[in-house]
Amino acid sequence: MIVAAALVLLALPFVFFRGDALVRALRNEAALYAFAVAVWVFTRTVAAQAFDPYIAIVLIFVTQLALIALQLSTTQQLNNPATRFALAAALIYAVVLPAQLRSVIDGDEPYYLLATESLVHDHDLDLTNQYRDIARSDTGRPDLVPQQGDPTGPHGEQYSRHEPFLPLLMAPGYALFGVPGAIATIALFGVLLVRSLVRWLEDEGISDATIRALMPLIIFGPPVLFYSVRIWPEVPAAFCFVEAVRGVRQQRGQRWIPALFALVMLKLRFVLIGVMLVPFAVRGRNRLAAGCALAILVLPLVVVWRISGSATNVHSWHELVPVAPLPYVKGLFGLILDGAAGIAFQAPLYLLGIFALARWKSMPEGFRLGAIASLIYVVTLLPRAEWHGGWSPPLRYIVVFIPLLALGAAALYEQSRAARAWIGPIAIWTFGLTVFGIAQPWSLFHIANGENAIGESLSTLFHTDFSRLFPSYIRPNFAAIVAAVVLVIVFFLPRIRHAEIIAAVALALFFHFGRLPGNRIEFEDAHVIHRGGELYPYQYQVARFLYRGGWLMKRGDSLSFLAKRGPYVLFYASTEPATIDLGGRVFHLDKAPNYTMTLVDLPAGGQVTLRCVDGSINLDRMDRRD
Amino acid sequence: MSVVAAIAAAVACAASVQFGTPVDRALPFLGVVLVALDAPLALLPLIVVENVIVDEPTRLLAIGIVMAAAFVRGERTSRPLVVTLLAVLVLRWIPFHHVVLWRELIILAGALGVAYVMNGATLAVLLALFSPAWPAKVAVMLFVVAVLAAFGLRRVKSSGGMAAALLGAVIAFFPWSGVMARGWTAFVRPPWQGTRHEVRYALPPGTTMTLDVPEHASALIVSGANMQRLPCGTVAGWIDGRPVTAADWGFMRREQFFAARNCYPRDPAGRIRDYGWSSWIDGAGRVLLPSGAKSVRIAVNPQLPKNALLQIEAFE
Repeated sequence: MIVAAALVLLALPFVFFRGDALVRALRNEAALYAFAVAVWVFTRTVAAQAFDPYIAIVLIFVTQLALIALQLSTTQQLNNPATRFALAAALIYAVVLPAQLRSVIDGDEPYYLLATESLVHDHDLDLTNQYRDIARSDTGRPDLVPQQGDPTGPHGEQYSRHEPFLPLLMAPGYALFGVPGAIATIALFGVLLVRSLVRWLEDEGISDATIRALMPLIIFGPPVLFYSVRIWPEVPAAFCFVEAVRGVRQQRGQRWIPALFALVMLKLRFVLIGVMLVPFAVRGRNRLAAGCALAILVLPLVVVWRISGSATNVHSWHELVPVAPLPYVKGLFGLILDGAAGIAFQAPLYLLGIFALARWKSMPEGFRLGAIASLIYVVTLLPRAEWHGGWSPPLRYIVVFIPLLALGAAALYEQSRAARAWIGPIAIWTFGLTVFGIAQPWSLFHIANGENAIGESLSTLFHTDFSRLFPSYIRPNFAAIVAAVVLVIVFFLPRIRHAEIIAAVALALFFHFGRLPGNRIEFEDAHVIHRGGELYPYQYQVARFLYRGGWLMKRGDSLSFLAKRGPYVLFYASTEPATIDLGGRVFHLDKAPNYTMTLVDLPAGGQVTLRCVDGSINLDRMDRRD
Repeated sequence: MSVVAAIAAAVACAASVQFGTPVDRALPFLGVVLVALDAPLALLPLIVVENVIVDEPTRLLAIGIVMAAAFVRGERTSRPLVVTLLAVLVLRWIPFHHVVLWRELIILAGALGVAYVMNGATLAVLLALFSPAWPAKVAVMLFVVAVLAAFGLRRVKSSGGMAAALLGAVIAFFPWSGVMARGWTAFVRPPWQGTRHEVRYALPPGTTMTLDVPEHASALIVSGANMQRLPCGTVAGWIDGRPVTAADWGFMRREQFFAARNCYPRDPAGRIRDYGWSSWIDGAGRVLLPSGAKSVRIAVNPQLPKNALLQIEAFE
């Protein structure tokens, strides 16, 4: 894999540059390799801590990509950028794909693969025999069982809740090359997405310089990079979305009809996009187009009905009915700002696409059309408990709109100096995410407990609650309110100067306050030092985010955490009376089958130990009372 | 506004200082340097590195790499005099309390002179890095010659990609710029330390003694005292009849290095000491013992200067 990565890095400059620029790019590459060797030698000289060689290699790989991106942004001209960027994407995805396979496929991926196996081996969608012989499956998941609510047939057939179109697309690749072949199919869609996106940006009047500056961040950064090398329908859907919108804009039925068809067939939820797009596609009295559009919208419902016996599969029409406003607010700000699942932290480039909405009138028409097309889908997504995507890499449900946000970001980048000023911090963050995702692919999945990977790492390192400083809308915290207010201010006042200095001061404050104790202790969090006990519910509980998480303790278990002195409210549940020792004071707690609260007092601040002296208890959290 | 930005950067960096080394404590100054180089973006990784990396060498190296990236950019975008000034300050003025102002001002002026004549920073910075501050007259002469030579070298390109890369490579290791300047052989033969059994004898010329070899020991760690004037290869004594050479323990200190005639040990066993321009490696070397030896007889060369000492530091 190292050799493959080196070859790809060697080939990339030839994709983008010619003449002096090519020589400069190759020289930069050579200089970085030489520098890396010098650093490696020097680490021996100064006896630096041993560094994980795999992470070091990933770091060099991504730094080389960043260098190429930097040079691209300063290059004078790039002929035929769509093909060049697509070729670059193909090379990069070919290297990242095996890196992602270092961990077993997860989330919905094994289910899609199982359906693909069934199509290839049995030529049907019945997974009964696949589950029976699961140990022989290529999923690498011998623990795999049908998902709750998966449809069954009249003769005991076991179907997957997931639409069969993606397995159908992956079947040839899987038949030829197994799991890598199946994923390569998705990667191929990633390449097509890159090509279409560049074409779309060009169609909408985005300049060559902007495309050169932003496309590397889109190709080499999340979520496109990681969803292109995993088995999810999101990247093929994003490609279909771009093609559908382009087709509608160009009034080309040959483009939008197949694209929209594929889009809605990939996932039933994408019908909501089709519903909004079709009126723009069918103009005048074009009966053929109208008929096609109707068929496109109805066909997936029929397919799903044939498989599951219900036109809405595991969903219900009630999900489309508006609910109370608060979940919408939570979902909206969560999708944008959540530390674990929001655009700002997981793919900050696209935050510019959100800000682009503030300049609605000056945005390209394609952006406005796409935004309108996404409306019902987004509004339906917001109040759902799973708005963050559940057990999947971040931004799952909005990957389909990444091209749209990219177009908005590109247009804003051209129009706003402030947007251009933020591109530096955004690029650093993006490449950092890329390093993280390639080095630790399993970390792309998170239990959605209100923490994120950085917060957990810092909390573990310092044993203080850094996670509380990241806005969380999964487990709403004070930072979420602050972040929402800041977002609103920035949204309407986008003119910010000295972005880097502001970011540096904010970062310094972040580390300062991160080391201080907070007002809330969540006992399951990473900053708490656990000595015995277990996580509740367990990590792989389906829809774990629906539960009130906690830490189960029994007699003899203890935990410690940094806290301020003073009175606290302790939230807990217990099937039997329990006795705890908190900072040297003993508290007898009544039996509480449902969560309840009790007042406790910490006589002194600092590192506090909580011991379960008798009984057993599920500790949820502890809130300080001022 | 740049002044306000520099102050803000310095305050942000000062609030981030977590460790006590001179390089860590110089973080506010490094923050100002980044603003002066028009690379405030580098403040972000600088603050993160300071807060997150606990292992000292790794952290200092990471700080060096961040600064290097900023200087590579600055070499292309900022004026050569500014880059030279900042680079010399970063390389030679940390730790600040070790700076002998008038000596360093001579070198700084010389470096700026070369940068002005060459219209590029790299050569000037390299000259500044390798210039001794002791004795000062050598530094003065060196820079006069350098400035004159620079007039002749003006046609040589002192800026561009390679020059920037060279500058970056030098800056990356600024937390140990003294080692870089005076002990570059440490890159080729890095010093290392095994498990040691301390002995700590300092033997004057003509002394002989026998030491019992501890179990599992395979080498003796030796160094010299008051030996910096002795040329390379001078026999300092004999261990079981085999000649032993030893470098002066402190010959790589900045005050002594120019006058010293010692060589970096073949099998170095010293430690990197101090930081920045003051950093140096002690001259301890490793002498392998005959396998299975229960005791060793050590004889110090009686021909050594009267005040010289052969230091038997430890078994390893």
